[in-house]
Amino acid sequence: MKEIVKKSCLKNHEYRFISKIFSDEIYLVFLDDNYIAISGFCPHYGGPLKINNNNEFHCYWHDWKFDVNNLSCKNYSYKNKLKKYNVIEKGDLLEISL
Amino acid sequence: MIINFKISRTINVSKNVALWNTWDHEHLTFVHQQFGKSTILYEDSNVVFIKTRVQIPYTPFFMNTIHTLTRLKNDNVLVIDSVPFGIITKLKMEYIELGKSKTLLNNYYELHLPFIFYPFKSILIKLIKKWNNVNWLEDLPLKTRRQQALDMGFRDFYGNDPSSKDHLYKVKLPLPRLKDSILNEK
Repeated sequence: MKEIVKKSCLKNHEYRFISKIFSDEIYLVFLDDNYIAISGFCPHYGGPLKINNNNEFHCYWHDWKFDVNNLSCKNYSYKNKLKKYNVIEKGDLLEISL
Repeated sequence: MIINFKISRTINVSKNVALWNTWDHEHLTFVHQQFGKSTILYEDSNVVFIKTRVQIPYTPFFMNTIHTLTRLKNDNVLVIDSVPFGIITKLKMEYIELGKSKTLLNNYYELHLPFIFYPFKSILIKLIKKWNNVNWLEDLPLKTRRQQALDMGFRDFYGNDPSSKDHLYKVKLPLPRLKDSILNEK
């Protein structure tokens, strides 16, 4: 199963969309020359994860912060990692899969 | 002197999602501009006592208050706040399920005022209505998004899980939180 997204969909290096294929909200960011795709739902209570100025995935509902590299929680004793999707660049398109 | 008034609104989320928002005390500090740091002094499955700081309307100043919530019959909620100058606010929040994803919320305010505040009665009602509206608008995206997340298979403290049955989510009190939650006294 794959989602195909045009690179031009990203505005300010980010794009959030609902994927019927994965039954998830996917949050796609372009950071340090890499595309990263995660589930946009904060695993706490489902708030919106978003890249902040410190390059962390941050949820404003309860101030949960996650490392963009290892996807682990930085400020609370939460052990699980964020759900990540694989991203493959194919020209102007991005192929997103689990 | 006691003043009564009512505020009613409907929202396109389930009763349980509306209740979740009321009992999710962790968001107060981060979502609501009018709240400062909050700490839970006591809670069980029916009641919570929260020490918090709230902004005095139209000023940059914050004041300490005790914010209490009690679960009533039919999961309705009684909120009693004791604020400075002898003012006590009693608010009954009534949740009426209009549909699977539609809830009517009636707020019945009972304002207990020392007589000295009588000339300011209408200003106080206006302030509380404004306060209520600001809180409502700040909470709205949380409730609608949470309903959407649950409908898509979101599971608390886990994340997206298409096999989840949490769309049948039912509030159980107190809401679970991590041991290092900002609400826990350190």
